[in-house]
Amino acid sequence: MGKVFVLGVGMSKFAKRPEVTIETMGVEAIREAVDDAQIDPKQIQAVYCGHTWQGMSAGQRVMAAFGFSGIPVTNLENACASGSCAIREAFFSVKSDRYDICLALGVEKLTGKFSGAITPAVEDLEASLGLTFPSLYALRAHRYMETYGLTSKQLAKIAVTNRKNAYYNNKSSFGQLINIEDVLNSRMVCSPLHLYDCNPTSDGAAAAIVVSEKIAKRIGGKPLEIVGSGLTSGKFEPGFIDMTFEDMTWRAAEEAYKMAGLGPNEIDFAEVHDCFTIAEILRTEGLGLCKRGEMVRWIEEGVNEITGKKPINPSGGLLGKGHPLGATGVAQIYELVRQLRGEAGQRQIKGAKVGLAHTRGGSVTGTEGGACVVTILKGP
Amino acid sequence: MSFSKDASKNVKPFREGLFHVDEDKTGYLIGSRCNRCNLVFFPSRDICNNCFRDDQIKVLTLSKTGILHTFTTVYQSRPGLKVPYSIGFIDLKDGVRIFAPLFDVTAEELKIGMEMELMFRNMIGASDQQEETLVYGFKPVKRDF
Repeated sequence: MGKVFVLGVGMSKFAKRPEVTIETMGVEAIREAVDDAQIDPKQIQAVYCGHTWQGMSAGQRVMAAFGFSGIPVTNLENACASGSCAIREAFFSVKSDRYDICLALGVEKLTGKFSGAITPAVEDLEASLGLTFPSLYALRAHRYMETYGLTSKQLAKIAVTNRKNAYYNNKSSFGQLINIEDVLNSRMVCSPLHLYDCNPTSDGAAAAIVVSEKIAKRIGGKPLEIVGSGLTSGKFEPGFIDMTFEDMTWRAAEEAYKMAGLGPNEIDFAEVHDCFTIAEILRTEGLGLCKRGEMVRWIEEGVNEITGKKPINPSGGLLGKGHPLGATGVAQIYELVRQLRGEAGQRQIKGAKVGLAHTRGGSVTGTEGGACVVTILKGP
Repeated sequence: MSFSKDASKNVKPFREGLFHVDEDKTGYLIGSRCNRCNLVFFPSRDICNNCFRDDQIKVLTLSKTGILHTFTTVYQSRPGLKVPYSIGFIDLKDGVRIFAPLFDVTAEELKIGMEMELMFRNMIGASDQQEETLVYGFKPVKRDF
């Protein structure tokens, strides 16, 4: 049970690419990861592939296109947390000495798949009565605004910040320099969330080479250690739960912090699942990175900016890059690696030593949600 | 969503076991309660989620009014549902929170803390069904001053 490292990462540019397949995007990501890790692709011993809607044997199809097949491939679905689960499975596989070199892959193609808002499975009671994913968050937004005095302008500022961060990210096609008025003038999707409060539809793939300490030492390069991992599913919630706090985010974070032997104060920056502006608020607090209700002040003071004390979503997050479900979790690890190595260019956070990645996905009537994964990486 | 003004008696519930509606179009939601754990469930459960036993479970007629805990008005939804429509969570004094469509109220009128009352209406698009089915929902309690 040794240490586990991310040796290399790669990702396709997140964009609307209706003419491109997951195989093509997956290969782009794997090639970059293999080069970044400086391994021979035939050294990969097992593949974990996260995706939600790409059909049977998606991981195997990508590997066949890449040109290397016949090894163990496991496909994972946990809604928006699918890619993070692929990272987690690779992590535990290596940690338990099952394999020395794994590929964690995330792929998703969304353009052309849905018209209108995405909803949970219609078999779910709330979905059948009209719940959509944006509305799930809009309901919490109104509650948070009522409780802590958050305004639409403050919500909008998160969209402005993350789109700006993405502007400096060559892996995003959605980066833009917009202002608060642009967000408030965009059409209402689900009150109080406007179009820019929501993540744009995107296709993409990301890959990470996850290795044992023995391999990291032998190959060298710039490996980053995975020091903590947590996974929870939503608990049954009878009675009146507090809709301004994401308990399942906290439970996944607790598991990761405990494993890593550190606390929220030691996290320098985080990639947080900002599928909607309100989500970044709920989760930054849910991770214990700031006190409950404190995000209102953080937004005003720019604490969450790249230049601030606790940068959130330096890559641009989901608001800035889009959210190809299976790929998102692995793309967060991509950003953590770039930041911790000092390779993030204009997005570079000064002195970044410990990074956290958080994804949360799915909706199940009566529970807090589907799955939440927290991963902590440490710099050299 | 497409709603009719009346709940007709020959329109099927969108899902069985959630509510009962009488001929005069009044009805109630069917919940259950575990008396050991003091938990109320909607939809009704025959085994308690907390103690995993059924010996203290009693079926419960839920109260017909509650307080609006939060809401949203939806302008973009899945195909088959007509927008805009409003949805929200209503806290009943039984100690259970109900997710439901909100009727007879505009986006501007909706406020956290409003008193809401249960009603039934026909809907096209619940559970992806193209035909009309009967659903439950809540509307503001009108106070005459």
